[in-house]
Amino acid sequence: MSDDILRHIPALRAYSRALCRSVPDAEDLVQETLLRAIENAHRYQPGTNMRAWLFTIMRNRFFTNCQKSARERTGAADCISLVPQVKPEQEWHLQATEMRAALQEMPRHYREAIILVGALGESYLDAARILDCDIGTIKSRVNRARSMLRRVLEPAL
Amino acid sequence: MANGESGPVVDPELDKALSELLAQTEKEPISPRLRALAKRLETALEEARHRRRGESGGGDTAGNRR
Repeated sequence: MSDDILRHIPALRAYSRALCRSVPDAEDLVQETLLRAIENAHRYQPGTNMRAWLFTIMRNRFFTNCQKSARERTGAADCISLVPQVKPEQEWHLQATEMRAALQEMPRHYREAIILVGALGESYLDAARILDCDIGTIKSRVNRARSMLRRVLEPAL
Repeated sequence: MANGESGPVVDPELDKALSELLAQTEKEPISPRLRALAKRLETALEEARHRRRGESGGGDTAGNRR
């Protein structure tokens, strides 16, 4: 039995963009995720959720990169503080839509939750594992994110 | 969609709009570099599976079944 990793690439891209908010950074993160997964292939438990495993690796890698950036940049408090330095044309290319704009505006922990559960269809349980928090927190974040999006998009829906 | 535990809030219209974000990434081409990495990962997973079988004498008992 062989794993079809290619079919996970679109979802990895979507989640990486929820984290990075810049297409070039997000593409780099997808590559780094696959490299880390190759190094840690022996840790994957056959039969478990491969995509969730890759999301977890991606998220850990993202925060490692954030910590590295924060150390290298004087005055950089955290990764999110770097976001305004991204040029508009590099940002997720459907940003013009109201949905994308609303996602861009919301805090990252809400965006991650709604992308994983609402867009990518992960269960609350797997999302809780990926985001390393309890299931009640995930439900709360998803509901809050939905409220934010609905408020913005109400006329269109 | 999320078929979560203890009754998720269902918002089909909103979730449909969100799913279009994924549809967008599905249309994007996958670079040769990503394809090569995906292939390497498949190989690494297969090798790990073989090693695990060898260590357990043929039975594949690892992992929590979904």
